[in-house]
Amino acid sequence: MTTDLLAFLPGLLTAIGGLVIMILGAFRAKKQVVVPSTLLFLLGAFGVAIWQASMPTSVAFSDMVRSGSFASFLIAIIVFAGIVTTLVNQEVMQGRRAHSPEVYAMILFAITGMITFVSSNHLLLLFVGLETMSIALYVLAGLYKNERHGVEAGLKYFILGAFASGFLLYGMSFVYGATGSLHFQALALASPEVTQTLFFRAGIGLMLVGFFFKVSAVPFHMWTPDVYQGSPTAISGFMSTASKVAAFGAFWVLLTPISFSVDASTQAGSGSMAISALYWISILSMVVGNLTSIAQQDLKRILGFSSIGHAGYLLMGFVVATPQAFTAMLFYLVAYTLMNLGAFAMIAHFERTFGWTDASMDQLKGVGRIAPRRVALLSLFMLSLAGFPPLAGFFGKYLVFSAAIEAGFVTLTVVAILSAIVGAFVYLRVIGQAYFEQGESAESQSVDPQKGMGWGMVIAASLLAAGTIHFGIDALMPWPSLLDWVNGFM
Amino acid sequence: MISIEWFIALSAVLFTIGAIGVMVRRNAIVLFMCIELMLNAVNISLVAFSSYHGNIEGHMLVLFALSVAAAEAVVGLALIIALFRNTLSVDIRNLTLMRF
Amino acid sequence: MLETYLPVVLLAAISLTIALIFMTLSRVMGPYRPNKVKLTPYESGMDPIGEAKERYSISYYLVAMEFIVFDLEVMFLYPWVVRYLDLGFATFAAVIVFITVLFLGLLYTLKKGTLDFGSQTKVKPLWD
Repeated sequence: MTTDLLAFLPGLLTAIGGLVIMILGAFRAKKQVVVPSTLLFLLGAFGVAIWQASMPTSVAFSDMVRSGSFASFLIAIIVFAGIVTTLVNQEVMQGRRAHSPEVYAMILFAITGMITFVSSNHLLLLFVGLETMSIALYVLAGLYKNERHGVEAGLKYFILGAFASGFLLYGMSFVYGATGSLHFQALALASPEVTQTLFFRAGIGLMLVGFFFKVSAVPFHMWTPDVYQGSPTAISGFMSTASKVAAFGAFWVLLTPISFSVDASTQAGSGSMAISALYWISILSMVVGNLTSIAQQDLKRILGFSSIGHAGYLLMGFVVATPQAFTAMLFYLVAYTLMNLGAFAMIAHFERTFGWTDASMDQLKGVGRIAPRRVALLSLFMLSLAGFPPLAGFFGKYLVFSAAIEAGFVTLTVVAILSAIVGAFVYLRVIGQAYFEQGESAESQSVDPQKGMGWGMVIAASLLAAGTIHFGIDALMPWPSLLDWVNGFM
Repeated sequence: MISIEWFIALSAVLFTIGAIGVMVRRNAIVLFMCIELMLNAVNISLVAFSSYHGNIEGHMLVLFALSVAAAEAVVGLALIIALFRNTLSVDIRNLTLMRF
Repeated sequence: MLETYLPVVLLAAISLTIALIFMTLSRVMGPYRPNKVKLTPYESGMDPIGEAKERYSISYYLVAMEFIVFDLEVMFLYPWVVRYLDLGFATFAAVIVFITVLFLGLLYTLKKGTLDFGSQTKVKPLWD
């Protein structure tokens, strides 16, 4: 009993935290109470995750929960994203009617779902974790319920998300029908006669649909830009990073043994159904995400499409499926979380400081003259997203691409590099807009442009910027790097 | 004893009706009912498989799927009420503010 | 396989036949003189006023939403109740935790005033 609870301690902390914040909210607690206690619970969960990262992999709750270094690593990224989101959100949402204790309760519940999701060892827990995460995110997406953008984002996310989780559940039922168990181990150990049945394959296919929806891979991506545009900006950053880390981590654990067992049964190497579907979806995501972002005029939509492209790069890790690719994917997840959260946080800050009504590209004109240092921060994250050395985004891309080349996926890598170049153009256009365009809108604002960042923004932005720079040169440093640590999971 | 194929066929038919409903209907409430229909179709197949294999795991998943569907229903209804307050209708063709 | 359903089909057929026979007999043999008063929905009641489609108060939907959740969460108690003597203290503690969480939800909804009918308490924004 105690070991069970200890194994799931991060999730327990965030769940209790969510309940406490909810009750505090019902009793009309002040913001000065709610935000620090949210941060306290999240820091506690982060500390526990770091502490558990050195432990060997073990199972708890009668084999349903798997704890250990890999799960703790993912939990640490997710909780870090939660901490940054809380810090940014409490500042940029000030004065909005939607700003209430429930926002933080929902963030905590979403993180609880994600933690359940990544530490699941059983399809039941996978489903419950996924839905806990999704339902909390539906609420957060529709937070601006008095604005049509907010309602539209929430409802679109809800309808499509529930539709996709219906497919996921149907896939689970097929897999259960074929194997007679919902345990990951039982699925991985299923005999070739079982894995070659139509039921098993259809089940895996349907589950992949749900998974691709969550990571917004093409052709299940259409909700992404709309939801990111309509949601509160800090929350969009949270959705685009933490939920994807959770989805990629959980499905890596679930799908790797299954896709390998499918491989072994057909004797066809990478020719199995799941892998070839992943191959094409990875290519499509990279191409469509990066090409479509050229035509966008809204900063949040640009980041939405770019996150589709990044999902494509991350899916390359599944396609290549070697230990190097695995390490590269995990490193890329860290880099992606840092830089994407940073970009969304800076946009949220500008939105608030300059009183933007929307986040369209024109609003950015001339901001570089008024607030050069803050635009430099935004440029840092944008350059990292574009993949410029020596930033984290560059090193992540380098690792993924070199793992793909080593495993012989040359076409895939060429497509990836070409689409990365297209994507880089879009990010550079944003930076150019801020620095080199004459701004008529920003300078005529009545708001005080000297109003800088509050303490929350300063902490969050400096953490993210330091991480983005550090993880770019991490491997060259004499001390043990993140890469060595990630390699230890294999 | 009815063989398992009938149950699977029933669940497949219900799931397909639900999925087609989501794609062709325009009323948010009906859309939402179609999603519930899909989830419940899955429950039929889970219970059928569970009794076919003679183990309880499928039944457990059904219990959790039902409660998840209830939680989803609450959030969905709240969002639909918010949509109604904004546009005075529940037609999802009103959701065209953000598009390509 | 399907033969097991024969008694059910038989029962349905017999009851349908009997019902039809009696309805036909009463129509054929009894007097039938309809007038306007006799055909009203409530024969000796009040005339219906207004539309049948009426808008409900928003609190009706709030209560309905809460009902869905609390109604279904109780479902988890049934498997436990059936075997609770065999399951021991650990399961009992788990159920207590579960009910506590539900109770916190109820407390939240009570404090927020969603179950307050009639008294038009305006929920004012909390912060800022």
